[in-house]
Order: sequence, then C-alpha cells, then structure tokens
Amino acid sequence: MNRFKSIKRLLKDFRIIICGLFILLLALTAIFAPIIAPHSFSQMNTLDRFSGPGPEFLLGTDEFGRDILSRLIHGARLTLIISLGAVAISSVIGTLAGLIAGYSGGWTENILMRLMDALFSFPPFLLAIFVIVFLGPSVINLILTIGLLYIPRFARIAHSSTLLVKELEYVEAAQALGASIPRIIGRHILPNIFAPIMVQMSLTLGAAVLLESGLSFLGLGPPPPTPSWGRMVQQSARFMQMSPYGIIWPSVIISLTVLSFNIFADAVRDNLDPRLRQ
Amino acid sequence: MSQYLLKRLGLTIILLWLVATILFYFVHLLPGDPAMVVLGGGEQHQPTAEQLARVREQLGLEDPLMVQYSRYLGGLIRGDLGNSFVNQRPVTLDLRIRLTRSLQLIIPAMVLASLLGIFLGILAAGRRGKFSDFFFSGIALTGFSVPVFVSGNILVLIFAINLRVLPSAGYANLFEDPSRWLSYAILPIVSLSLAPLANVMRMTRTSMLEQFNQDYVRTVRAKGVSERVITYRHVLRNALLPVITLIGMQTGILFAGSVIVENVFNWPGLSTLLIRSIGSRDYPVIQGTVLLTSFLFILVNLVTDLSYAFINPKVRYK
Repeated sequence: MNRFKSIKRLLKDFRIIICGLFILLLALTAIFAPIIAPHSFSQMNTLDRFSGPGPEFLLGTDEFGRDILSRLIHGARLTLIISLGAVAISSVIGTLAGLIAGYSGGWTENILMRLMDALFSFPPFLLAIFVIVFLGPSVINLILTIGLLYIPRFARIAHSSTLLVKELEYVEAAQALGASIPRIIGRHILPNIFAPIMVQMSLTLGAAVLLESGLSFLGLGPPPPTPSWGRMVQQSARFMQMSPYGIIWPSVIISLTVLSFNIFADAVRDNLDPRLRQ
Repeated sequence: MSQYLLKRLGLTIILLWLVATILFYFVHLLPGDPAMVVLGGGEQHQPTAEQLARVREQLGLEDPLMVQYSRYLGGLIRGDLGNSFVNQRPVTLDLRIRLTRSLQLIIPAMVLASLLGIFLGILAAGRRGKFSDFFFSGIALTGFSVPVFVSGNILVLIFAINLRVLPSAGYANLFEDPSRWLSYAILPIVSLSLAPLANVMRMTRTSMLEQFNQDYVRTVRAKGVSERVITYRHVLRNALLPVITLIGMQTGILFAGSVIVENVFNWPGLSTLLIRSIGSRDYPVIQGTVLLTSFLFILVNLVTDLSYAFINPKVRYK
C-alpha cells in the first residue's frame, strides 16, 4: 500500500534524517548511560572545580568539580523516561477518548470533549506545579502529571479527524458489512488519522522535555542526586560569572532536544499533509 | 450574534465552575493535613492531637465535604479565597499586588510578541523559499524550542555580565520610577516574549501562505492590483483570524513562562509568591494562585473568541 511510499518520502527529507539521528543517539546514550559516561555523575573533584573543557573533563566541571558530560549523559535518561512515558500515556488515552467521542457522538461526545476543554483551560505548567507540589516530585508522578496534562491535545486532534473520516464511504461499507465498533475504529478509522497524531506526538515530546526541565529548574524535578538538565541550569546560574560552562552545556542540550522534536514534527507534517507538499 | 454571545458566556461559566471544583477536590483528596502545616508540624516538632483537632475545627475541616465545598464556592463568588496559613492575611490581598507586577511583564511581552510576530510573519511569507524566509523560520523554530530559563540566562550573561549595561535581576516600581523599572523589566520581557513571538510568526506565515493560494487572490491579481495592496488589504485581513485565536492561546504560555522568568530575574510577581508558598506548603495561596491564573486564562480565551466572532462575519451571522 502507500504506507511504504510515505515512509520512503519521509526518509528523503534531510530534516527527518538529521533530527531522527540526533534523537536516536540521545536514546542510545540514555540506555547505555553507565557504560558511556566517562566519569561518575556524582563524584566530586574538589581540585577541579569550574574547569573548562579539556582532555580530562571533555565539557568541563561544575561547582563541585563533577564532570558535566557524565551528568548530561545520565540526565538524558531521566528526561527521556519522563517525556516518553508521559507522551505514551497522553497519546493512548487522548486518542482513544477522541476516537470514541468522534465516533459515537451525542452525549458521550459532549461529556468527553467538555471534560477535555476543562482540562485544557488550566495553564499546563501551573497545573503541573500544583500537582507535583501535592504528590511529590518522583519520576512516576512526573510522568502521570505531564501525561494527564497533554491528554486534551490528542483527544482534540483524534476527535476532529474522526469526525471527518467516519463520514467516508469505506467506513459506511464496513458498517454495512456488520463490522463491530472496535473493529471499525481500530482497523478503519485509526490508521487514517494516524499522521496528525504522529505529528502531535513529536510536538508533545518536545513540550514534555520543556516542561520537565522547567519543573526541574524550579526545584520540582526528581530530587538529587539524580542529575537532571533543568536543575543543572538552575544550580550553575549562580556561578555564571565564575564559569559559564555549567550553564551553557545543559542549556544547549535541552534546546537541541526540543528543537529536534519540533523540526521532526514539522517535517512529518510537511510530508504527510498533501496540501503542504510542494 | 447575541445568541452566540450567550452560549459562549454560559459555557465559560460552566468551565470556571468545573475548574474551581476540580481544584477543590484535588486539594481535599490528596494526602497531607493542612492543620499540620498551620502548626508548623514536621519531623522535629510534633503538634499534639488536641492542637491538631482545634486547628482543624477552626479551618472548618471537620465539616462534611459538601459543606466545605459550598462554603468554598460561596467565598469564590464573593471574591474571598481564604487566608494564608503562614501570615493569616487574605489571599486576595497578596494576589492583587502580585498580579499587577506580573502583568507588567506579561502585557508588554504579549504586545511585543504580537506586533513583531505578525510583522516578521508577513515578511517571511512574502519571501517564501528565499533565504530570509529560511532564516526567520529557523529563528522562530529555535525561539519556541529554547526554554525561557535558558534564554533568560543567556540575556543575563550578555547584557548584565559581559556588557554590564543592564541589571541582572531586581524590581522597581513602575509608577514611581519608570526608567529604573524599564531597566529591570526589559530583559524579562524580551525573554518572556520569545516563545509566543515565534508561535505568532509561524502562524502568520502559514496562514498568509494559505490565503495566497485562494481563488480570490487570483481574481484580485487578474484585476491588476499591486502585490502590496493584495498583501495588506486582502490577504492579511483574512490571514489574521487564526492568528488572533493563537494570540489568545499564548496567554497560557506567558503565564507559564512568567513563573520561570520571575524566578530567573527575581521579579516579585505572582510566581515568586507561588514558589514561596510551595516552600511553606501554604495551600490557600497555592490554590488561589492557580485558580486566578486559570480564570484569567479562560477569560482571555473568551475575549479572544468574542473578538474573533466580531471580526469574522461567518461566525457573527450564524
């Protein structure tokens, strides 16, 4: 079918290759963090505080003389686990809610979508702060909270796409053949609304990384000694005048990660949406 | 129009009520005893059972949940958010002072982001495929990928530490000393505006390009109207509709951003109050801050929708 064709088209876009490679590299780094990291992330070398990039410490050291590179590598683990976990939750629940609302219509639709509106009317970052303050900043809580916040994004997209797709002839044909509702939704509607959901997944991953690092920056991320990118920025900000490296590297890596997810989403959208294809 | 207005207002009221209710049950269903917080209980200091019971009585925590809920809703309608656990002052008092200071950053950032974003968006759309389009679009993509605390710190590094032209953090009263206020406010405003600016610019660009493909543009062009007039008189008017909705939605981003920006620049607004009350577990203040920002967020979206309806005849006459 043309699923093959669309994958081939995606691979022709250099943005997808570059960002995909970066994300893959990051994921591999996170998985093999203990093997790759040249130093321990918590070992303090008091004689080497605030050292710049050099042969011993490739990216320099922070205010306790800890190796910045090793801390970044371990931090990748935390960031990726939290954002992937959150997006897994929000995309599955949100898409399902949107599909059900869009397909069944009536009261189910009304209640589900108004609920999504209510969830959507909290400024996400504040709600996240609120929930984390009450539940405590463990990794699981962060995943659940961020996941919950992003459910409406997926629900809205799945809902509006389902409304369009369910009127099409092949859905009518499946209904006439007596296919069950889960089969119609799963086999006929879901594959045809998958492109916008994939774009949203990539965008939401970027947003989740931003949110997680923002929370860590405010001191609401997982507690030390787990290294997290946001907290690295926060702690180094005070020592900016003595050595800028502690703040520069984590800033760069957070920005690059979010940027790759966003560019990836842009590229997928450009290629899968026939109206935008040139 | 009036029917639309009523429907939209009704929906907003339901939404406000839903948000308030969710927040209420959230606070009450979660673990943690507010009486402990009031008494400053912790690992070193354990209040006695009688003390706890007395404070719970004072706070009305012994009443049935429904009674507490109606008291809470009644207070909300009167504009009463309860008293702070820490200093016993009414929450609304502090919120009012803090909100004006936060808005001193948020409103200028919003104006800056909207005007500059629309301008750059038009520019990029007009030069589609040329170098400046790639350049601005690339900058925009970076703009909303860089976290506020990163851009804020970069600005501090450049303007406060290296060039030494602006203070790195602080606050001055806008009404007493405007020029000093500006010197403190300019960096936070700029870093706060970057993400919404990028969003507005991207939306303007896409929306303009979509409009350029419409039939009416071909007709106008066939009539021999200049590109300049097509862009500003015809395309821009239609292209701005989705941009207006987007600008309304940016308030959420701005409030979120202000939490961090105020933290970076030590600006005594809502967010610093929020962070402080988180530290002391001052639930009424935390709840009040989140409630206030959510309400503002909802109301701004209402205003956006209404102005959208006002501008767009398709909605107005439905």
